[in-house]
Amino acid sequence: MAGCGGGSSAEAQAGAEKVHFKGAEASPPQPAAPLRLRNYLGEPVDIKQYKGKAVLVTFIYTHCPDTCPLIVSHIKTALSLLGPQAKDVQVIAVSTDPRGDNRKTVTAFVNEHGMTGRMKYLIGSKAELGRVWKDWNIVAKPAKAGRDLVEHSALIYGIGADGKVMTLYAANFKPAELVHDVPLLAEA
Amino acid sequence: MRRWLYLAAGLGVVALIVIEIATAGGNGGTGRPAYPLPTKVLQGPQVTLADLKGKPALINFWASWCDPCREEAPEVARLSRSLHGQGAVVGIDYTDREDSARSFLRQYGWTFPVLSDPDGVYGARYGFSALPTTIVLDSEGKVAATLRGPQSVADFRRELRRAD
Repeated sequence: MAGCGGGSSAEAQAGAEKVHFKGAEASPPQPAAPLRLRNYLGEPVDIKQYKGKAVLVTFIYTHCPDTCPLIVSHIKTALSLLGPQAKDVQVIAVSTDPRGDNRKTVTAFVNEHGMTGRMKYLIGSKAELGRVWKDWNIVAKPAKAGRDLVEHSALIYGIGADGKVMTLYAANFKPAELVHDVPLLAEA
Repeated sequence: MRRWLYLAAGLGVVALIVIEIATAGGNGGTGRPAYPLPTKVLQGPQVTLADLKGKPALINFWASWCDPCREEAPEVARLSRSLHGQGAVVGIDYTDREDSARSFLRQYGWTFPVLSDPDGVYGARYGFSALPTTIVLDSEGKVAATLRGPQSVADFRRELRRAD
């Protein structure tokens, strides 16, 4: 069975060369699941349109109190540290909260985190998002604690330029891991 | 790099992840010199590592969008008002909007020096994985402890004593 695991010492087969990633590596890399939704501005987004670039896919919601904003801020930091190489990666965030994430709340969120124009934040109905969560093995459900909180898988997928899932990052990833891995993903 | 627990299925994706957000305590990276502080000042005066030497100090990374930081903010304010030169507190605002950050300072009555790290490049060197994160420095400017998640005044005082 295909599986993920390992860390900085792990090795992945990419073409004929061994590539060392900082993130946990998919072994073997598998084609990314379908991801077609509209962003918060109503524009259609299909992950296939970014073939040839590295893609980072994460699952968040706007009024998440701690994990999600730190994920986005660390991604922003990584983009800053990447400098001109940041053009080689597309960041995609998929909502885990069809009820609370809408054009207004997402506009405010991406603006607050300095990610306007730098991250495709995809929203949709519960059915639309649910299909994506299922395809990407994401769990998202209302938190028992209430307060409109959402319990969800908090992680980041690293997709190579060939459209395959190559790496995975836990919510407590460090920006340096992405800075290291994005150029490798972009060359995959 | 730390290894994580995964349940692999389908594409080889994660069903279970251990998250370290807001976990209190920790001593990663102790004994090394602190990394440089940001040069951008949100609330003066400007502070450098050289200014902090001679007494223990706390470098508190925070952001206005971080709910656990808001939980901790009154404790940081109380601590700073009670130090009377026995230590120093410096805040570093991580990847934040300046207007939101200034509102935060007013709301919690922070009057100590606060530096700004809008692109996160200074914070990235410390490699923290939770906010707030407080770096405890000894009197020589070396990292004595890293405190993850909201702390109390008692926590801060204990760490300052240890670092002294």
